Amino acid sequence: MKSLGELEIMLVGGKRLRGALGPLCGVTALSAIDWQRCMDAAPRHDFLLVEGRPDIERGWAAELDRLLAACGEAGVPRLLWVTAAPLRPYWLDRCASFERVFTIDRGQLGALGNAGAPMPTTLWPATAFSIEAQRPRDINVTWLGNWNPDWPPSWRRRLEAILRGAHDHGLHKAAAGENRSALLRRTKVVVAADEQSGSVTLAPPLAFDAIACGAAVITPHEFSNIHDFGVGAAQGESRRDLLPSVSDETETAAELGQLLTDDLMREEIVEHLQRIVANNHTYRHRLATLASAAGYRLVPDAVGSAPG
Amino acid sequence: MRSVQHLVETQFSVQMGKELTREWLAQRLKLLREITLPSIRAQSTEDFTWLLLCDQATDTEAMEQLREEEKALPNLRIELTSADRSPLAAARSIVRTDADVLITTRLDSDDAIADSYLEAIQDYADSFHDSPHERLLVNFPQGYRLDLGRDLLYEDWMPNSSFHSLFERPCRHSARTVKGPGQTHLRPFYTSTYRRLAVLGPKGAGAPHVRLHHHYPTHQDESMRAWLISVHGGNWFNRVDEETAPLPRERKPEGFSFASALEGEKRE
Repeated sequence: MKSLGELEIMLVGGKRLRGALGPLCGVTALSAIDWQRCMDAAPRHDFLLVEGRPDIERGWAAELDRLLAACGEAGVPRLLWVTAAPLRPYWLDRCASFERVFTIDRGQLGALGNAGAPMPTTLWPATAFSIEAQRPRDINVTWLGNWNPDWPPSWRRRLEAILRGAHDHGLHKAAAGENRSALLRRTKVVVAADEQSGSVTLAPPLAFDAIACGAAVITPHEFSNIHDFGVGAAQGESRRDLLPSVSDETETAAELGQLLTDDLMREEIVEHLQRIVANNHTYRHRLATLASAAGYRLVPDAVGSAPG
Repeated sequence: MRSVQHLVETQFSVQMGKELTREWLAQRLKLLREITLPSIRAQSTEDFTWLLLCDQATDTEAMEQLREEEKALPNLRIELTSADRSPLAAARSIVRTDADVLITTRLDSDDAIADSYLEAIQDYADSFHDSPHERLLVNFPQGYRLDLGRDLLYEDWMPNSSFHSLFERPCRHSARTVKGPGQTHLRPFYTSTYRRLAVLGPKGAGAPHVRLHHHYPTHQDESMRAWLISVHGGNWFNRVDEETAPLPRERKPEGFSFASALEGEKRE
């Protein structure tokens, strides 16, 4: 096998992941009702990918255990990718049944390891959007607007403070049903707060989508340091975080003040971030990494990502 | 038949603004012999050249010992550098311009690689060759840190490790490169990166390899624990995070046969 396109995978996952991986390789999306038929119908499956989403147990319940057992007997590698927080007991109970476990939230690694997950590892989300060229933008700051009453109080306070800091800079809250990609392409700076998960240590997919769409990003999550999104200026000047994490009103106002008053600097930052995303954070990259965990050594076989 | 050349590049005594004292050289030679060299000998493939770069001003005694190692290990090739012969020129001298794929893997002279690491990297040659990439970095983020002073082993994960491999196409570049045949780009990139990017503050490593992913398409392979960084008095940056717990003492690094031999020597 020489390219990702030749892979045949089974997927238990949500719409975003199905849509992102579908153009890249052979994907059989399984349902709890007829997974056995799908599994029997194809001559070969290179691995099973299960997305650890919060609502999946409602549909799958005991069927997932049967699927995992069947894949184990057939020698099909089983990969779990947890893509939300908090970590459900459902996944902790099952994580030891997989060959490898990944998560977009590094704060979950300890719990997964203690539950028997083999080599639990951070694997960030990615973007399926094409990298957008710079264009005139008429919205200063966008927040996608979802609010979850089940979030921890500390997270709610953090996000409230950040939104207060953004308020005087022309904060636009997305309306219900507003087209996400169109909105990101009109926005100069996105407050990349995950719409579902109130976890500081989670890497939000929105950050990568926003960058692909040409927006700068500030985020209440703390994740960018582990892959170094910083650049240092010439000696004597301070390091600049390209993807700054903010935790209060003052930090938010300061970052937005810089990003919104210096268009050239903002565009340079976005250009640099887009290069990083194109080189590292598309679903081709994620598929290639997941494939490596299943024993396949295939490069992410093109620069850039599938059209979004 | 596709031809692949694989260089493992180690800078042993290339001057980086410090004096090559006998004491420093003796310590580095000890680490090379105890850690790096055994892991190279244990490799599951023989299809590579281990390029050891030494400044021509390196102490004669140290060079004699290195030349002895070179005689004993067919894969090892020592090349000298100087003010008039850069590491790039030294690497260029052994690059085959007719190779379809050139792989350059970085390895520090006090670190180790898993027995199957080089073979695992070479597994990507076909996929890279058939891809549209002109260049690609392949990194294995999973590894270990070994605190030599306290004999403690830690698991580690680095998406921008110092053990990355650069894939290139020298035969494609040789006709068009103004400066000459295609060659590894690691060294000139490091040089230009040092100039352009400041060393980070106390918490940052500052090494340019942490920023390579900014500039090159990068693939992360999660198939194995691939490397071992030794932590000792001489490497200031390679400290173990105080919050990280060591592995139980009976655990050995998996896939590193030299580590068992090291343990055996200690008992003796």
